[in-house]
Amino acid sequence: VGGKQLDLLQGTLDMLILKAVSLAPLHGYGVLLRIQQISGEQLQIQQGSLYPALYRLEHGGLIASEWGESENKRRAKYYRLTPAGRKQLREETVQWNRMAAVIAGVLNTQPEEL
Amino acid sequence: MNEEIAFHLESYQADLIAQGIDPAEARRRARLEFGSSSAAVEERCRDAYGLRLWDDFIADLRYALRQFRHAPGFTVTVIIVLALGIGANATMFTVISQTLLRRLPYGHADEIVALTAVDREGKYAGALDTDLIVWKTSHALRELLQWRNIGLTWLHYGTSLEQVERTLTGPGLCGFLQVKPFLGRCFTSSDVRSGPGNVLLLNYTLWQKAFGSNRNVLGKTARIDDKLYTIIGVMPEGFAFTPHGFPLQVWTPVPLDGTLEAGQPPSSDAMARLQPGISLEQVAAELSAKQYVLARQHVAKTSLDIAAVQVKARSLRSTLYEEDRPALLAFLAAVLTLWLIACLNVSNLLLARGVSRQRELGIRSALGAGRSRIVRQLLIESFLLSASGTAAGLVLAESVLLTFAHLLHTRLQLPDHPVPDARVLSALVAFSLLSALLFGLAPALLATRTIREQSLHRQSSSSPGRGHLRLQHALVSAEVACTVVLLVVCGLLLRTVLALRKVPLGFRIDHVALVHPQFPGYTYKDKDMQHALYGPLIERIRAVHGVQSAALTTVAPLNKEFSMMLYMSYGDTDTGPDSHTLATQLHADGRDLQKVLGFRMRQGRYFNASDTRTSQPVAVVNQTFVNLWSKSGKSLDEFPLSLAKDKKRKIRIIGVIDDVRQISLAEPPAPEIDLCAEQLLPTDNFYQPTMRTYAEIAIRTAVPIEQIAPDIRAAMAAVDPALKGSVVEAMQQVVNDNIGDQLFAAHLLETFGGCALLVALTGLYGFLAYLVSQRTHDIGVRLALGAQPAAIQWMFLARALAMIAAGLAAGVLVSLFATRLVTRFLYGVRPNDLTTLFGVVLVILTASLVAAWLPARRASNVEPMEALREA
Repeated sequence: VGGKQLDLLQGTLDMLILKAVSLAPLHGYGVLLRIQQISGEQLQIQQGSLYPALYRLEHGGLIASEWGESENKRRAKYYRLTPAGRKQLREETVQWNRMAAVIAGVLNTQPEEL
Repeated sequence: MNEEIAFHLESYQADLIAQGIDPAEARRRARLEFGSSSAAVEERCRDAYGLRLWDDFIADLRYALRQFRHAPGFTVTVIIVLALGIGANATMFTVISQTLLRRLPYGHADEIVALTAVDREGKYAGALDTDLIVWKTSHALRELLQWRNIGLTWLHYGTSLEQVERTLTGPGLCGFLQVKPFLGRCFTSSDVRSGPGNVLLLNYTLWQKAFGSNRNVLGKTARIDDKLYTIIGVMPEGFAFTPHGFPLQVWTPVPLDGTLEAGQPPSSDAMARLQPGISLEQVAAELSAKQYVLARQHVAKTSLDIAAVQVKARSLRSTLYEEDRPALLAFLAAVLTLWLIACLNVSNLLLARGVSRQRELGIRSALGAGRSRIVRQLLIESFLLSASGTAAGLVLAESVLLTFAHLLHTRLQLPDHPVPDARVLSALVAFSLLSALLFGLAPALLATRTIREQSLHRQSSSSPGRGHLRLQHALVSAEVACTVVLLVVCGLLLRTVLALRKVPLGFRIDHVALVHPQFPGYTYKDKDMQHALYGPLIERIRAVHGVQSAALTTVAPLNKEFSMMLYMSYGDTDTGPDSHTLATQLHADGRDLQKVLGFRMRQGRYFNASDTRTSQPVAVVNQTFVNLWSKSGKSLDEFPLSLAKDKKRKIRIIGVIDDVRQISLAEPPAPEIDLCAEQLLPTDNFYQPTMRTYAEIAIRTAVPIEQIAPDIRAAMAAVDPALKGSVVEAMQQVVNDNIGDQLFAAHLLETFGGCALLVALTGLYGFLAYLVSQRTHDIGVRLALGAQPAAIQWMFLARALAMIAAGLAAGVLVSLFATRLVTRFLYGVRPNDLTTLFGVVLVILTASLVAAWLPARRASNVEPMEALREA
């Protein structure tokens, strides 16, 4: 575990979950591991908030679930992205990138530019 | 969900162990990092899933059930009170759903309009076919169907003989009613090309009963009386026309061309469907204008002013149960009042309970329950109470319906085992929700308001807030007011029954039996009724041991079903017919009728053995006839009518009898002419409307009637086997049936009124008892400081009196209007009868003072020391 972990920005967990399951179907614990893995162990996810978020997304029809078998031969619930979720992820990604650019622009502003 | 979380924890744990951490420590870390507790996570998950409302609801339900288990007395009282209120309504809803709101077995049934011709006074008069032909030309009508109900006749098929209701209709029956026959075809216009058709439609029940559901009946021949008809179709199951008539029905077609089948009544009825955009009033106005012209022509032709002069147009549905409609609606009002009282009472109980639960609610609120959350909790308790009350009420309703099944079947043609149908059940669900809101909302809102006003540190038995008390006062007063209304109506009906019982009948009823011989009429078609049937019948009956005398009467007193009217014009017809038509009842009575019924003679003599077919025809009239006749300025000797066509057998009036109630106890006697039955010849003018139409035999016995009835039936069957099923009815029963409506209504309202009084008294008692218990401490202090027990008692009584007085005043005011609803059931008493009003006020005042005095006395008996110590 290298460096200081970042706390998750409010409202971004859903987006990260969508991204994680868009790569391959995952069970809940797998989602947690995948996010940590692709963030380079930089993001810290409250384990307690993960499942409410998963259920909220499933209820909203953005992800779907089915029971399958885990790597260690246990029954586990696998989540995958639905077409609606894919659309949502695309939109949120665009929006996030635009927002990030704007905020970066704001933060990079130098006194002489005013 | 649990499995998933367990899997997560296990996987994490396994990963930690793989990192070289001790298993016990791994489990601890796993749980710790997962968050507070898995239960809390689960709750948030269910929340996210949208299950929160459901979970809360289940929790509230469980909590409510626990509350009920804590206070079984309260719960049972509430459920009983609600069961009374809702049960009475479930019963009435069932009855109304199957009567006034009965599904009509026709297409677009609510479009159908009933057209009725009425006379100058708005009474049913019946239209002639010639009138209907003119009506049919109206542009306001899209379709018109004429029909004529013949009543019960006999249908022969093979060896079976069934009594059926026969209706003659226009050939367009099925098209007009928008129904298709179940088997075969309907009438067509070719069926009536040459006068009334000889084809027959059966109803489903008859097809099952008399034809064994045989599909090969089509084309077969059946006989009605002595005429042969070809069966062409069977109507679908449930089809009936007239809508609530006899269970076995047949239809035959008639053309609308003024031709009449011999022996059928001349008047017809009509139904119509209107052109779009035409209102009932417009049709009535247009047809009345046409009818007025027709009536003038008719009067000019016959010189009798009995023709229909107006046309009434009403929706077919509103003509259903016309007689019973006001009674049914009055009962509906009564049970709704009872329900209102029950809800008010439960509301009051909940309010009282709300105060004792303030501490509990306070704690919940302190722990973070929002106001809406607490209101919801309390409302769910109310709904649960209401649902239980409804369930209990349904059971109650079903048992009441079963108890009265026979009466409901005979009076209102309800099915043998009436059960609340889907429509009633859904109405009840709505009703129970409404009840819960009605009695639950105010206490719930008030309870949460007082929580905010009062803090937790108050004693658990805190005194109720001002809002509480005002509302509870109002509720008790409202209960009293509703009770006053119910009891006043009940009192008026009871006085009506008493008045009817005192009506001088004009004849004796003990040891008098009536029998109405029913037989296929055609068997005596060309015979002399007196020789062939009635003479031998009366002789046989008279010979039965225990019979003192017997006589024919072509309609006995208090017969609601049948009356024969004679319209005679007297005086000068040149001056116009209007005021010179005398409508009088026409009877033919046996010589011994006076011996049987024992009415008194005012003048002259009754018929005797000297009145025979060869002697001069004689008649007696009643006192009312004399009073009206005297207006013509002529003496009774100038009575103009003759028995025979050629005026040879001129009738002489030989006596005046006392007035006898003819149709019902409540209707004043009509003028009446009685001919001597033994004198009438089949060729006489008056033979057909009397001897051939309707006859009863009145029998005077020396022994109880039920004892002798089988012998009478046997004697009758010996004359004609068709008479073996004749019903021998006691005159006493006829009288009872005659006031049956009022009696039944009074008994039912007595029950409702009693329930209402009991519920209202419980409410008053409960409220005062609660008030006393709340103020025990306060009373203790007063007594310790030297207050007199009598003063304490008075303090509570005065409070009760204020509530009762307010309730009584409001109740009296409302009942002044409510009694107008029942005016038509009253006899011998005015709707604003002061005696009844005072009586009811006195009863309620006394009863409620007793109910108030009990808790008040308890208050004055409080031991000061104990009261203070308890606090």
